[in-house]
Amino acid sequence: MDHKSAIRQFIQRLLAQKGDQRPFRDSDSLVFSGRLQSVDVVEVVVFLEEQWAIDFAQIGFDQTHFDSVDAIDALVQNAGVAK
Amino acid sequence: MQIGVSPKQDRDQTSRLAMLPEAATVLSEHPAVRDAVVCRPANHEDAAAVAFVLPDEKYIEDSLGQKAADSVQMRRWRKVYDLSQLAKAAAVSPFAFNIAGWNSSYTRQPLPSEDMQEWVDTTVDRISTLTPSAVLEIGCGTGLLLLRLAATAERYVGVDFAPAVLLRLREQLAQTADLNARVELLERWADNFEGFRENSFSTVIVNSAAQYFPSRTYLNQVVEQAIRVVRPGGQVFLGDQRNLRLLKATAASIEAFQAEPEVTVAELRSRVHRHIRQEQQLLLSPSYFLSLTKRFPKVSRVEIHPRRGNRDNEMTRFRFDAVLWVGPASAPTTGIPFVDPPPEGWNLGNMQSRLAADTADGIGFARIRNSRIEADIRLLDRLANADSRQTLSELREELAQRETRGIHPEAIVRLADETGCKVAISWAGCYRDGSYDAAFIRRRASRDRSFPPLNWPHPTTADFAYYSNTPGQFEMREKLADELVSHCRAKLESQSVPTSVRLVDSFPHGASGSVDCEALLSATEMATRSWLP
Repeated sequence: MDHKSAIRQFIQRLLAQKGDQRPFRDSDSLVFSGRLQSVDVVEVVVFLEEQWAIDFAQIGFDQTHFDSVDAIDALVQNAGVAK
Repeated sequence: MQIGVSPKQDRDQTSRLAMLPEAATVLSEHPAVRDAVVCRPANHEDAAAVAFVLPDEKYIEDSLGQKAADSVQMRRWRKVYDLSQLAKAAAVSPFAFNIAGWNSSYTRQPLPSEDMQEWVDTTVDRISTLTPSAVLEIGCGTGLLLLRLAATAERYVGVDFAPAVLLRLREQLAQTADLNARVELLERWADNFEGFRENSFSTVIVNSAAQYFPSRTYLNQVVEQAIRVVRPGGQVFLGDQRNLRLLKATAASIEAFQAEPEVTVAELRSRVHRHIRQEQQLLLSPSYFLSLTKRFPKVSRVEIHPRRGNRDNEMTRFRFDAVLWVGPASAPTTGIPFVDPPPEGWNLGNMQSRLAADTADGIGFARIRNSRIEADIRLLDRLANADSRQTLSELREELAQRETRGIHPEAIVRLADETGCKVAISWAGCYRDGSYDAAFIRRRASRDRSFPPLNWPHPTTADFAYYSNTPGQFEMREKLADELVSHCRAKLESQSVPTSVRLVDSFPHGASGSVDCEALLSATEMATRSWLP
């Protein structure tokens, strides 16, 4: 599975756990639209740390990088994770 | 343990309800139940019985695994705060103003710095009136309060659970040798009071921190310890509390802000409902704090103040400060009567006239409609009654026609200044629409800055049924309620089995001393209003 599909699947599961079954596109806002809370973003961070060993102490943290599947995918690419 | 009700209490004479002591006894045999009462309409033996249950929080924590879940939740919050300090904004913050991580629940964007500046200023101002000299601050964060208040304190201990946050604070403290010498920083959980002696602090501050506590049980432990370490004459300041009474209004306000204009009322109701179920933070009723005088003899009085400030944000709309005064008790000021509003409600004109006509040293105005959240309350009311096919934009259009009739609390402060009075504003009344009470005292009668103790209007007994929400426990508690119905079904005749079990935080008592089931019924029905699916 490519990065983006894995991210999409994880977000889908996270939203479902919150009782949010609404569909979303890869470009849809998730944080600024209110669908994901700050504690949910932590879940995404832990997922990225565990899945691809991304070190946020190195690359810094900016919640805009978590606002959509596209944005998270770009963050993963920029962190130098091999495809 | 009080099991069920005594035979003398099997019918509350003032009520239209008959008690079912046998059902209460059966419920109380379940290990998850600390106490229970069951009732049904009097003279209607075939009517549905309703049970009210005080759950055993220890059972919920240990046997239902809540303690482990709470610990996971605390670690999540710690990570939220540690991550916030990895943002660029945190690294370049001005001294005493590192507001990284303070985001609006409406926009999810950082709160405007003007809002945060006012939030810090008004908080520091309120705490300064307590003249804190030896301070323990739990959840000191990046030092927004500490770096201002420590300058005038003899000793200041700051505690926080997030190491990256404390690291930033240490960097700022290092810039001032004077502050650095008198401040001690400790990385620990909020309930760890190890090494703090009894009566060793003048003031304990827990500001904007309790909402990240996993449960009221955890908060109880922190409050108990905080009271222990404060010396008589001191205070526990629990600031920036999210108000449980306004949870629905908060959820409706945020969801309507974030929703697309074409969203229907039905969909919006469902989002509000989901918002409430999914709420991750601990919200508290003012009645929780008011109840502490009974639990802790060391607490002589409790004040509940809505937040100060002119800026319009979620803190000024929906939050309050609670101040627990630790003994010795001082007699409440007498002679300040609270006047109910006239039919048209209080407005600045009729309040001014009243102040001009009345020559007493003090006067209290009860139930002043709160303009800060009037629109949110109206939205909530319309959501309850509107046609479910209506759209949000139609609802907004309709609501925009309505005139604001309430008064902004800061306008009350200005009125006091103009009329030569000092004023205090209270939310102790627990009014469901966010109305507040205000007491004016003529400056000629009392010149010092502090405000004397008053007999503020108190909440109704029904307001003591719920003290907080139960973040992360909604589904588990629903399952427990169903399990308790099944437990009764296995042990009771069908006509005595309650059709609904409602978990509450305390049993309000009537004048006779028996459990006030009418109040419980009214409080729980209010909490599960029919429009919530």
